[in-house]
Amino acid sequence: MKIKYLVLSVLLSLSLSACDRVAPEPSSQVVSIEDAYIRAMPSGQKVTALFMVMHNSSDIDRQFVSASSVASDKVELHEHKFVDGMMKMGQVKAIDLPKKSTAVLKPGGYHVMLIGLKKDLKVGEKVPVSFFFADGTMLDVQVPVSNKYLK
Amino acid sequence: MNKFLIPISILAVIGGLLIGSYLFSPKAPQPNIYVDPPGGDFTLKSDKGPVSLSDYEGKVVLLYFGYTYCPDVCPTALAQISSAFKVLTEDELAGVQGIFISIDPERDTTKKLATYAPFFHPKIIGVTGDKDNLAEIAKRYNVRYKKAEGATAADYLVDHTSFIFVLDKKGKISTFLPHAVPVDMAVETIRRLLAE
Repeated sequence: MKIKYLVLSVLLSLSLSACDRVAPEPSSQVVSIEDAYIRAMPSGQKVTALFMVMHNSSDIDRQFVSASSVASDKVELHEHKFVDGMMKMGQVKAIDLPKKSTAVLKPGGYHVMLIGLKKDLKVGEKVPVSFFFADGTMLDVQVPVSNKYLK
Repeated sequence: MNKFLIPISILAVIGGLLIGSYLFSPKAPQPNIYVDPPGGDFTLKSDKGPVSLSDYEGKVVLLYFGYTYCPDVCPTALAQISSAFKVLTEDELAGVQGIFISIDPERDTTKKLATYAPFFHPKIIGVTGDKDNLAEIAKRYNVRYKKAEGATAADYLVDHTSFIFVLDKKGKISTFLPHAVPVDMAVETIRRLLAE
């Protein structure tokens, strides 16, 4: 009898202690993507850039690690560095999204590069893009093609 | 002891000090002289045949060196040139020309450039040439570029200096604008040169 209570109380305290070790919410639920757009390019262009604002509303640092889209063969994350007087673009493994902060991917800085466009993208067209985070979660966004930068 | 020893040694010391103070004094700092690149005429290929800078003598020319596999900086520069052109009046527009020189002839054919450049503005012409010709022209414009292979599925990227050159009506380099130049600054520069 006592053993049963002992076992029960051990189990109960175990489950109680597990309560404050709750798994953090998935990145896909706490990161929001705003103002995403893909730059419209001339016909026959094989690469273009996607820009957006990413906001991490959680208390934990997150990372944006990759993306994919049916519109292109490959998608990479890139940044620009001004090295030795030259604009140098380079692939990065991840873009940090520190807790409670906003990362802005804009021209001249970070961008998501779509490589090997399968067809010409028309202005206004909505392109499905999946954004992946370090914790394995994913966010799907319909990103419009914009030529606003030409206006 | 020689009676001249002491006066001579004193003179020597003074002399030494004088010479030393001249030799070792910090020289007045040389002004940092930036030498404008010589620029100058060039002839490259376009879809419609050879194009020379001198073809546009009498016009204000906006010149940019880049490549079409560049997803960010080059389209930004061309978009700024285009936006500036769109602000100009019809008469002013008739007095300007945009030239996009591709430093990546391996991938950017004249045919490709014929659709690329006008996408940004019909008054921008896309040209390229063989490696040696491009290298020679780039040198005169202080334009540097370097193929950056590996670490990307985009075949290769090209690091490059990124300025929009504004040439006066005589084809001489007047000023440089950064590729993300604010449109009104570009328009002001163009108008100033049109008035010359």
